[in-house]
Amino acid sequence: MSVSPQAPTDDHRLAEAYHLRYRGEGTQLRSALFTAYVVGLFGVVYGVLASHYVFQTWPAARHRVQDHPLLCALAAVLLVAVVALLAGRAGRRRGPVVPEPGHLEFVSATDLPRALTLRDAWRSTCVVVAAGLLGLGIAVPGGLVMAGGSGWALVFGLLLALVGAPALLYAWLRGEAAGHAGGSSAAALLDSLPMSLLRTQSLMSDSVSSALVAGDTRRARAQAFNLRLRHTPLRIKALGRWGTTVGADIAGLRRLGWVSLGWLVVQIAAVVLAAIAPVVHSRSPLVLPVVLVLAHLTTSGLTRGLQHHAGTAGEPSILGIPWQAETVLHLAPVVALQFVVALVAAVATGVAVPLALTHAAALALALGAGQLLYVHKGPPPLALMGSGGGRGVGLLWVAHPTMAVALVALAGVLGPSEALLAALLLTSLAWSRTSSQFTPARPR
Amino acid sequence: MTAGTAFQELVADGVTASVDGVSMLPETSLTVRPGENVVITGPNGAGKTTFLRILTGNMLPTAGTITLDGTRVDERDRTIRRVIAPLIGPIAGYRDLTVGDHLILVDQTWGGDRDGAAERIIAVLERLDIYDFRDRYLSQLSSGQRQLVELSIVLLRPSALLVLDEPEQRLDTGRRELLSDVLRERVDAASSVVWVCHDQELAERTATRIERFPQHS
Repeated sequence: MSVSPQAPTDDHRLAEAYHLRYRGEGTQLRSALFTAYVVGLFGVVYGVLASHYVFQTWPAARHRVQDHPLLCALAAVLLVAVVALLAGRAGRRRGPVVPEPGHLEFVSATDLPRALTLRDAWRSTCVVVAAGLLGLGIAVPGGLVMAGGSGWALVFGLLLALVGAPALLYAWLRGEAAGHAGGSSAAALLDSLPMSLLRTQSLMSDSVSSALVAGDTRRARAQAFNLRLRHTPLRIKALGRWGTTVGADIAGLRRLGWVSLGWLVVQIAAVVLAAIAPVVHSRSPLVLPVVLVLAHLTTSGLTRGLQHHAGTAGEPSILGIPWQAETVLHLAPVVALQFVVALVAAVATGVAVPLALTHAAALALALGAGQLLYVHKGPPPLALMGSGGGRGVGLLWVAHPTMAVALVALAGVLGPSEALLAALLLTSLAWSRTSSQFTPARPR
Repeated sequence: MTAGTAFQELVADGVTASVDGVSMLPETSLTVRPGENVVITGPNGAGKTTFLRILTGNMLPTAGTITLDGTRVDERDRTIRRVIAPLIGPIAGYRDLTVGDHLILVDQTWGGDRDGAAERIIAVLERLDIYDFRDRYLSQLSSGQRQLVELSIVLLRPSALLVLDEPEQRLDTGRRELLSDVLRERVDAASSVVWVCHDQELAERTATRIERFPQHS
């Protein structure tokens, strides 16, 4: 995993190139060390607490680990292997070695060996990934030990992290160098990375980051995933005002093929999970919010029409229906699906019908309102960004639709009527924001 | 190519637009009546596009009023939208719908009958010589082809007044002739057109009136 040492002259020239580029600014490696410190510390402290909470609340999980230690260890190893496999695939789009564009132009574009100019970028990723996996390797078994499990779990977790981190990083790097690799060592893989690939990944990473900082997660997603459309000569059907609008949404989703199917499956799974009896009757105040947040996040993969509509607010619409009707037509089929799935899941698992109805209605309304807040959130207000909070405030702004949905779920802990009331309130707020987006622009 | 709701006159009365004291559009007045083909010319920065946005109710003026037969123009008003069809800047099309899909969506949401949809769509595609592109996504079109597709979308929806911002841009000489013919046909059918044009010859050949911006200069 280590990069072979270079001749002193190269190191000297590298230092000069760094000086030219950074001039005393923090380098990527320095900020990675800080990130690793934060990830490691928070991962261990909060991870152990969360893991302890899970094993304490569901003793069955703890017993299962204690009764079948080998099987659980095998499952953990398998999980790391699958993640490494996925990392290899992800590397083709965004590898572990992605210096910022300025570094590429001033440092990597020189005639210095690429393994040397990319060394810090590679080490930065190694440090962060290793810290994250070590944190996880301590946190999960640590919680088990605190809940009364065997101390060997902690030893195993540490070992797995120590072996898994290099394996994952290597697979990820191999993925990035796929098709260009001239050797199998990390140094050879770094040397084989062509500038065109590095530039593409670096620019993409930069634009995704700037979209995220601006709170535009839709743009970030569009930049990160180059979705291929299935080319089909079949056209949408002429089904009148409402039917054609809904049909266009369905056609758009169908043309994304497996991607849409994947979103649909996880969405249904999340809604089912949020409506089954054990979750509805759970005494823990955290279960429903976590599951509902998952459902909220997966809904965004099915609202392509709504997202497009929101993205074009303020521009002359090409459609002959009012914005209110268009909003409802894009959202209603998804909300109806959520309501039906939640109702069926609740009743099938033994929830009383009146409670199932209220729960399903609150859930569907909250998820619909969450989507409206999400698609119309726009960049963080300047007043907020200028308040000194910086990135923290930006992050809060990005997350506020999700937090609003979680609040409705928390209200659900008080009772079904409270949840429905909170969902209605959220819907009203979300509709009001949507309405404000469709006013004629003022010269600014 | 559906006829929209007829109007008597669209009046822009002393409209201005300014940002932080910087004028984007000096005081401008204009009246448009049925059967007129008004071309707006002028240098960059004269406020032509800003004026079109205000004229179509997509932007509120800093001062002055825009009225259509006495009613204040607001793009959200359905009646106004059945009269004015704007093409100002690129249309926000769907990346996952083909040209044909866009036209079906536009035709149906504007109330076209289901049985006649195909006939109307083929007619507009053939008129603009873009029938062969009907199954392409917008991203698979050249800039000139996209310009014609966007024009087909505004031509298909019902309207009595087309408002276009530099529709001749990115079109070759032959397609500019085609554009000129299509706009003339609209005016002959008692519709009106207000458009910004930087091709002086095309403007003089097509327009019934030319307005030079900034006014009073």
